Amino acid sequence: MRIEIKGLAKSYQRKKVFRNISWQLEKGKSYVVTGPNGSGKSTLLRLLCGLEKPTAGTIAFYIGEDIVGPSSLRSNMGLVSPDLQFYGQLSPLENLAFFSVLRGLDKSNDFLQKLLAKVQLGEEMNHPIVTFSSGMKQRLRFAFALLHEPVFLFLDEPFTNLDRAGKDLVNCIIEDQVSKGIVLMATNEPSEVERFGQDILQLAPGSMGPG
Amino acid sequence: MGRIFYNSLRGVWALVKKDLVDELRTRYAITSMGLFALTTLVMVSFSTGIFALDAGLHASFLWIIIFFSSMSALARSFIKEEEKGTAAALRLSASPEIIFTGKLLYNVLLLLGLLVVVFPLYIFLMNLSPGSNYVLVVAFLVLGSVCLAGATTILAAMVSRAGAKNSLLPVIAFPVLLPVLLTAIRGTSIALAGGNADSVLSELTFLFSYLVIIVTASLLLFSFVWED
Repeated sequence: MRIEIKGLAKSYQRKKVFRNISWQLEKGKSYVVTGPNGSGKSTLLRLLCGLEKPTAGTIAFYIGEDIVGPSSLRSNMGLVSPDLQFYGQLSPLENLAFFSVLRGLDKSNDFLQKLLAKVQLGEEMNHPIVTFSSGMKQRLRFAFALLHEPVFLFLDEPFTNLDRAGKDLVNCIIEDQVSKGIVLMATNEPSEVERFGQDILQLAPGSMGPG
Repeated sequence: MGRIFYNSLRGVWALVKKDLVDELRTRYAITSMGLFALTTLVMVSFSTGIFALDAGLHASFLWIIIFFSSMSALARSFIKEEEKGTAAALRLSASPEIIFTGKLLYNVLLLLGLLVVVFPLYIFLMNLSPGSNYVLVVAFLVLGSVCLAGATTILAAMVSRAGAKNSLLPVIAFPVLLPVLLTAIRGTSIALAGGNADSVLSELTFLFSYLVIIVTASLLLFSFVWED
């Protein structure tokens, strides 16, 4: 299992976010992309998830020796990002049930309840999300990302808005996920870079990648 | 293959159900559509009360009310996903075809709901002639509305990332929907005057062909609109 990034570049009109990033990520390791605001950390994660298209370069996902196509990538990849929002009028349980069916999964109500309990939202699972704090929404993002048990997990500032218990929970999720596949995290926090950066990509605005 | 198709259908229905539940809890589209339809209907009724209108004018008024009432609500189907930031979660979870089909069905249901309210009220307030061929009138209203929903769904997806989203849709949709509106008005007018199915065959064929073309083209093009 690996991800191969070759000559990746992203520009918005004339603004170059980054260029010529080449990187290989392999199973069983956690990776960190770091850099100042505007250096393109979140953009890189969005490119990896297929939410944006690169200006140049390629990204290839492999499971074994087989390349993963765009439709199977959707079922093998999870994202936690501040950009992700859910339906405020629905409860976490309703949101997860909706996304589960949309993904073509056959998850039971029991599974969804256990997943919500795992991210410590068990007691609020039937309350509309519009009443949630930002930390609770961040926990729900983890439930959403883990719903389909992905092997590629991309985390954009995963500890944002979380309390002590939430941070411990995310540490456990990352450690568990590293054993199953690949974890790539975008962060600026030195302690997180040190703890999870088995391989680190340092970005600077408009910069060339490490090659 | 069968399993994939079954899961796609479940996905489409889940999206329709989610949008309906969300709408019933917020009542944004229902309220704006209903109030617009009601005020326009009452205005038309008061301003034309003393005149005896022919079938052509009735058909025109009916379709003008349907067109403008539905525009704000139909535009919301994609705009609300972009504005509330839920579009990314949708993109990560399902293929563009499932998303488009779900949104199209939801828009069709919304328009059919509008018809259920507007048409009986129009008959009541405007004293429509009992000699009309109401089965054909309903056929034109339903087919025309499905065409409206079909074209507006892809256009709503296109304008959802633009600046002046809500006001942009009726302007962009008007030239695309003009052939549908003109044909639907002509067909409805003949049916209101008591015409039979043979006399409106060309109008029905046109609307049906338009629907097939617009939905096929939208399904083929939607991934470029949705993913780029």
